[in-house]
Amino acid sequence: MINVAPKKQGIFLENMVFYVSLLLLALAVGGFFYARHLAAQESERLAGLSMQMAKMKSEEQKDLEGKIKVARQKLEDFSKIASQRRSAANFFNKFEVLVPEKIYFSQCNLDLEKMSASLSGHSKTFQDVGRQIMLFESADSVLESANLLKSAINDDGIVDFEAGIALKLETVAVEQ
Amino acid sequence: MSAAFALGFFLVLPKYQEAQMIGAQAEEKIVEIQKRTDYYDALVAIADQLDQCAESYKKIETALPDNPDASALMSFAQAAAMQSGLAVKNISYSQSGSSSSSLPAAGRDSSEKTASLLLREYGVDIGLSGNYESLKNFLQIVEKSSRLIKVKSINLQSKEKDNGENQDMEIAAAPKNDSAGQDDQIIDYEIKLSAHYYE
Repeated sequence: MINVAPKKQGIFLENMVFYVSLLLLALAVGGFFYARHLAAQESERLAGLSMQMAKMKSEEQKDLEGKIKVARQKLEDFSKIASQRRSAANFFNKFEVLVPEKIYFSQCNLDLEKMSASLSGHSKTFQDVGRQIMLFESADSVLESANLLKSAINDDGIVDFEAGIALKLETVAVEQ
Repeated sequence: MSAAFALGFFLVLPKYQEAQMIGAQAEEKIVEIQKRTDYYDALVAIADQLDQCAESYKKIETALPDNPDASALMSFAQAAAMQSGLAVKNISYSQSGSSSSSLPAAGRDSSEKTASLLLREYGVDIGLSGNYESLKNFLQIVEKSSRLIKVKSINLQSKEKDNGENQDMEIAAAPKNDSAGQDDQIIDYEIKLSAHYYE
């Protein structure tokens, strides 16, 4: 008697392995084509996006950027220059109230960039000159400092003097 | 079965990875496009704001014009002096040479011609003669002008008398008791002005 049962089981297993392999192969081939299709689709999308980006850097945008940059720079420059401006009119308005009677000037050099002024003048007495310097020194809201540089009596008996003053920023500030 | 695995490993997996990589690049592009779109929208919004402030912006353009227009400034200074009651002795123009590049180097490229600005300064020296009140009027006119004019320095010098001595120069809010009055006192002034423009 011949036993055929194991042979049948072996063929069945072989067939199973064959069909599974075939299925896997089909899946692999299908997967390959799907991945290829996916890559092509993504490539196409990427190309479309790249084209869109290239279009975005348009002339209109460049013009807008230029216009805004110019405007911003002009605003910055204006603000900087305006803040650097000093008012000579304000200086004279505040300075003139500090000059007492009997003091006369022959020269006044106002330098608004250095925020200083040099003064030459005369009076009848040293006391008047001293009073003038004291007035300058007490005006600490207007002047940073005041120095009597020279004081001498001339042949006519008049007291000549020279003084230097440093100005406070508020003295020459421009009202905005 | 081995062939199926080999096919999967050597063909399907690399292709899938390639597709994923391209997809990631596309996503990056989308983010970048969104950023650029936002940037462009912001540019348009700023440009609209500028258009709304056109009047104020025009004032700045008047204060800092695109050309020196020195003759206009000299003419204005001369007219202001005459209007204030001062006599103009001399007036001269000089390029001060000081300049500042307005835009940072990073903001410049050959395609942005409109954005390349150079701020320059020039000076106008003016010699005037007249009384002290007239000087104050002159300074007020100059300092309030729509053109941004800086007064850099002023030299006041009392006029010489016939005998060679200097006259008394009174700097006071009101004439002093013992003086002839400010209106009679003629003072010489040397004023240095400066103005800016874009080149």
